[in-house]
Amino acid sequence: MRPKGSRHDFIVFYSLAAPTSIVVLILLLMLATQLGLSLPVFGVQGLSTLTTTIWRPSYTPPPDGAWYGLLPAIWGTMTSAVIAVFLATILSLSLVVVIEEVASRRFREVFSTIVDLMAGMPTVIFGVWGLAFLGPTLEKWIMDPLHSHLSFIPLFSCEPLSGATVFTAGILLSVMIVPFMVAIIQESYRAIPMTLKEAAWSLGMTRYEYVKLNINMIKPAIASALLLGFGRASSETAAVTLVVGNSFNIGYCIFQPAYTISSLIANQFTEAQDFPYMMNALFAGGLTLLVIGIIVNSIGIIYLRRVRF
Amino acid sequence: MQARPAVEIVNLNVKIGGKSILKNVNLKVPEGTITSIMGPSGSGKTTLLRVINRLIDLIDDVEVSGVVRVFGNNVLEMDPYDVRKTMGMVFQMPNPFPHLSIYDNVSIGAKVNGVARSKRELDEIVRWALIKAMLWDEVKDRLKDPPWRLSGGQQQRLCLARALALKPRLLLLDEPTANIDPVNTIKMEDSLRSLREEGMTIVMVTHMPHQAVRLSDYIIMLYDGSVVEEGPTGEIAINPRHEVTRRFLRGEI
Amino acid sequence: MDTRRLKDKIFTITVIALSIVAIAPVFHIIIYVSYRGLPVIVESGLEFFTSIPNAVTDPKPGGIAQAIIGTLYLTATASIIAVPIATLAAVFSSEFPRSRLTHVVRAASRSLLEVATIIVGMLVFALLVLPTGRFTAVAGSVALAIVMIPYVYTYVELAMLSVPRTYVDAAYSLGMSRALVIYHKLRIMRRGVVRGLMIGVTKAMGETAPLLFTAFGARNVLFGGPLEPIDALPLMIFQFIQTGYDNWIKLAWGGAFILLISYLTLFIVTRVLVKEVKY
Repeated sequence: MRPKGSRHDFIVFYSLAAPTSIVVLILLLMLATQLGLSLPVFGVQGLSTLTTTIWRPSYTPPPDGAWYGLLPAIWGTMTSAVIAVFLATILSLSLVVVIEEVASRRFREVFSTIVDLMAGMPTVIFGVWGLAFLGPTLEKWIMDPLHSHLSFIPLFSCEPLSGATVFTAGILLSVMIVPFMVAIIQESYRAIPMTLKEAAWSLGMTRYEYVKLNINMIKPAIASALLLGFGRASSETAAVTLVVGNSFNIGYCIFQPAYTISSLIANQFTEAQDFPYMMNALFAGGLTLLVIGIIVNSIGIIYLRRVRF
Repeated sequence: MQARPAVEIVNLNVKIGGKSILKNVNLKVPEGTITSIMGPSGSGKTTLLRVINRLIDLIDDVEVSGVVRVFGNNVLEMDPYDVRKTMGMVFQMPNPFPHLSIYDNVSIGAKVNGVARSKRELDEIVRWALIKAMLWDEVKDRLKDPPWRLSGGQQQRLCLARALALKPRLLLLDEPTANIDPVNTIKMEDSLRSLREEGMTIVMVTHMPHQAVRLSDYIIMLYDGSVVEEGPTGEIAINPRHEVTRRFLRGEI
Repeated sequence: MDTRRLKDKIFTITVIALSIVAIAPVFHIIIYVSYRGLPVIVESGLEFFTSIPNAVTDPKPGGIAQAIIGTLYLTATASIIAVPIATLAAVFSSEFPRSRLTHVVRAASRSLLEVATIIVGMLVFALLVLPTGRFTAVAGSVALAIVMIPYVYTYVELAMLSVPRTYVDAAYSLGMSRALVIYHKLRIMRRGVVRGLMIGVTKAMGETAPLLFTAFGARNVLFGGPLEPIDALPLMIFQFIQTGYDNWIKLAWGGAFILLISYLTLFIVTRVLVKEVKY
C-alpha cells in the first residue's frame, strides 16, 4: 500500500493538467476542422475529389458547374517528395559517414554545426534562392541537356519551359530535408555499441566494409528517415510554392510545372471563399496532407523503434 | 622461455589524453601457448591487448611508442587493417552482429578478408570454426537464425568462432568468460586448450586468478601500467615474488 | 587485396564529395541572399527600416518597416501565448511521467511538430477568421503560437527531466512543497527553458505558411493594431518576390537579407547558450 498522498500534489496535478490539455485540444481541433470542413465537398463530389484531374472553379456548385479534382496536386506532392527523398537519402548517408567516420574531430564539429544551421533556416529563404538561382541553374545545366539528349526517357520527355518545375521542387526539398534525415540516421548510427564497432575492426575490415556493416545494422532507422523525410517534404509550403510552377499538370515527365497540395492551398485559399465548395475542396487537400503525414510518420516511428541493441 | 616469441613487446609506452596507461612495458609471449595477462582493473590489461591488434587507433588522442612484434613484424609500423586480419579477438561482452545470422556472423571476417574463395570453402571454414568453438552441435540446424536467439554463453562462443574464421595464428581474448555462466566457461576453456594443441597462440586478459592458473602456461602480471612479474604459471602461482602478485592471487585487489 | 584498398579510397572520396554537395547550398544561399539584398538596403538607406514600401512606380523601393514591426509583434505575442502553455505542459509531463495525459500530450506534441504549418493556418482561419470575417494580427499570433508550442514543450521537458535527482531529493527533504520544487527545478534549468524559447522564436520568426490566411499582410500602415491584418517579413518576402514589380522584388531581397541575418544571430546566440549549460 502506498502511504497517504498530499492534497497539495492533487492541486498541482489539476492546475497543470488544464494547460496541458490545451496542447492535445489543438491537435483534436485540427483534425476536426480538416474533417468537418472537407465533408461538404466529399458530399457532392464523393471520393472522385481525390481521383479526378479537373479543377474548375465556378459560381455554380459542383457537379454541374464547378469541379475540384485534387489528383494533379497529389501527384505533384508525391513526385516532388520522392525526388527529394531519393537524393536526400544518398546525401545524408554520406554526411553521417563523413561526420562519424571520416572527418577529424574539429571538422566533425564544423559539419554538425552547418547541418544544424541548415535545419532551422527559414523556408522562405530557401524559396527565394530556389526561385532566383536554383531553378534557372537547373534549367540550363541539368534539365535542358537531359531533355535534349535523353528525351526518349519518359521522365525527361517534356521541354522545361522555365526553372519552375516538379524537378526543381524535388531538388530544393532534398536540400531542405537533408539535415532532418541526418539527425535521425546519425542518432541511430551513434547508438551502435562501441563493442560491435570494435568487433568489426578486429576482423580486419576496411573502412568501406566497416561502414557497410554498420549501415546494414541500422537499416530500419534509414527506412524511418526516408519516411519521415517524405513527410517533411510533402508538407513543406513556402519554398515549394515559389519553385514548383503552380499549374495543373500530371504525367511521367518531371520537367513540367505542377501544383503540390500545399502550394495549391497557398495559392487559391484566399479566393476560394468566393466560390461554393472550393474552400471545402482545399480543406479536403489539407486532410489528405494530414492523412499522408499520419501514415508515414507512424510507420516511420515503428521502424525507428526496431533499431535496438 | 625456450620457444620463440609469438608476441614480443619492447619499451612500450601508451598515453591516452596525456595520461600514461602503459609504462615501459617489456614482455614476450611464447608461440603455441596460452598466456594470461592479469592485474587489477585499471592496470592497463585491455589497452595492452588493443595495442597488439591496433584497435587502440580508434581512440583519438592516443600516443604509442615502442615496438610490438607479432611473429617478427612490428605491428606499430604496419597498416592497421593488415594487422587485424591476422589475429582474432574476443571481447568481454558477447557481441555478435545483431542483424546478421549465425552463419553470416561467423563467415563475415573470412569473406571480407578473402580467406575463403568459394561458397564451399566458406561453408567449410564456418563449420570448422563452429566445431572449434564447440558450438557446432548446438547451432548446426539453425545457422540462419539471428544470434540473439542463443544464450549469452553460446553467443560468446559464436564470437570465438567469428574470430577463428579468420584462421588466425594469434587469438586475443579480453576477459572472455567474465559475463557468462560456469558451464559455458568450461566449454570455452576446453576449446581454448584444443586450439593450443593445434599450435595457436592465445593471449588472454583475465582478472580471475583461478582461471589463469587453470588454463595458462604463462602469466604476466600488470600493475599500474607496468609489468611487475612474468613467468611460467607454475612458478608464479606457487612462488609469487612480488607483493602485488601475492595480493592479487589471494583476491585482495 | 589491392582492390579492397581501392574500393575504400573511392568510397571515402565519394562520401566526402557528396557531403560537400549537401552542405554547399547553405553557403551559396548566404552569399547569394547578401549579394541580392545588401545593395537594396544601401540604395534605400535608413528609409529601408523606417518606411513602408513605396508605390511600384516610384524610383526608389522604400522600406519594410511594417514587416519588421509585424514580425516583432507577432513573435512577441505568439511567445506570450505559447510559452506558458508549453512550459506548464512540459512541467506536467516531467512531474507526472506515468499519467495517461502525459502519454497523450507527448504524442500530440510530436504530431504537431510534423504537421504541415499551412494546416495550422487553415485551423486558425476556421476558428478566428471565418467567424469574424476578418484577417487579424491576433489570428497571426495564435497561428505562430501553435507552431511554437511543440518546440518549446519538447525542449523544456528535456530540461526538466535532466535536473539531477539529488537536487530534487534535497529540495523535498527541506520540506518544500511540490510547487516550490517545480519552481526551483525551472530555475536550475533556466538556460534549458530559455533555449526552448529561443528555438520556438527562431521557428516562428521564419514561418510563412501559417500567416497566409491569418495575419494576411498589410503594407499601407506601419501598424494597424491587433484587430487589423498585419505584415511579417517572411510573408512579405513570399508575396513580393512573386510580383513582377522591380521595387517590390528589391524589397523582398532586402527583407530576405534582414531575415537571414536575424536567423543567423538567433542561431549563434542559442549555440552560445547551449554551450554554457552546466548542471
